Amino acid sequence: MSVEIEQVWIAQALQGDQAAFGELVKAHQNAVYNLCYRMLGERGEAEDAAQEAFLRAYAHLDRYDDDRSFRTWVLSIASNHCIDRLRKRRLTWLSLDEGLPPHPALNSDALEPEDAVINSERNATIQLMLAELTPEYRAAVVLRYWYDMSYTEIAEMLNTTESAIKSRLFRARQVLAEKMTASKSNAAMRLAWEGS
Amino acid sequence: MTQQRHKRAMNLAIDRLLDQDERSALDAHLDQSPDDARLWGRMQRADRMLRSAPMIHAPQSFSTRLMSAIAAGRQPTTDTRYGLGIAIGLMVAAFTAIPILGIVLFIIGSILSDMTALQLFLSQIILILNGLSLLVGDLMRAVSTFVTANPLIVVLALVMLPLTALWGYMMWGLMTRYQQVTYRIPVRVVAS
Repeated sequence: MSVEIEQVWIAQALQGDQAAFGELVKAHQNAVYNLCYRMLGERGEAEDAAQEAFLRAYAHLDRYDDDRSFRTWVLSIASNHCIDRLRKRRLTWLSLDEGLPPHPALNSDALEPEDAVINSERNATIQLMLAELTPEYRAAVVLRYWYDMSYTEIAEMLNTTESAIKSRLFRARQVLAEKMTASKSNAAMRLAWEGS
Repeated sequence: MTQQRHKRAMNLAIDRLLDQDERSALDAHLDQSPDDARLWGRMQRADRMLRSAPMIHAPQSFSTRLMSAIAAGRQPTTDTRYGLGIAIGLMVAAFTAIPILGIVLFIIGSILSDMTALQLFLSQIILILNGLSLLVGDLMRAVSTFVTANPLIVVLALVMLPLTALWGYMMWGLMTRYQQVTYRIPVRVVAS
């Protein structure tokens, strides 16, 4: 999809054309959803957060600066929203009716049975490792690894400095490296290592 | 190079942001430091694992559901930290504080620059403090007389004060508690 087409959709959406905004959603829904899933670790909550990010983008489309890409803008909204959600999640109430949160391994895409098991185990391990990081560190890691963003871009998206992002990534990698040592005997971790 | 700088160099090396000389210096250090070499190995494995992680796709009906919500006029939730009320409150506080601070600074400046005014100011403060101490003394005497005449008041106060404090604590807890987050267990139906 070219930048020109995207700018046309944005202009049409600004004039109230919801279908044009729908095209923007279709173009970026996977990127936003993946970010929310990697940040929050649960599909239902990721969908809620991704919806919220797009709703905010739609409500504040007039504030969009067309010098930046729409993808970067909406990912910035989503990552800051996920950080807020994680901060509010400090106290989690689990009622007996609701049960425990699903193990990330249960959240697999439809694949061949063997591939699905390996993928879901690897995914579960990655999510468990990400869960060890604070919301701010997690956001930096997700934007770096899944979106290949530079330190400068991540800093702009998270409203901080480049040196803060370097520091967050450094500390996050140290934590992840330590977790890998601690879980070395874990079968899922072995699968994840072998697959990487 | 300090230990911390070696670790920062490892971080930059992971992102391929070290130049040739810095990379050679890091390799030389890793040859001599088994602990850092182990950490470097683990950091590389974590890096490879994250790089190999796939993108997770949104559910197929995601855009349909979202566009239905938009068509129905659903609004995004608002974060209280960006609320208009807080912004207006801060502006009012700032606009009120500026003239008050200006007057206070002007008075302090004039008093400090004039010895007679300074003496007069200090004597006024002493007079006010003296008046306050007399008032407190009178109040204590009145309370003492009242309590002697009505001893049950003391018992009532001893019961009411902790109860009021407990009520206040509970109200504060209700007003500031964190958002409740609930989960659902996904049920997989296995065909028999």
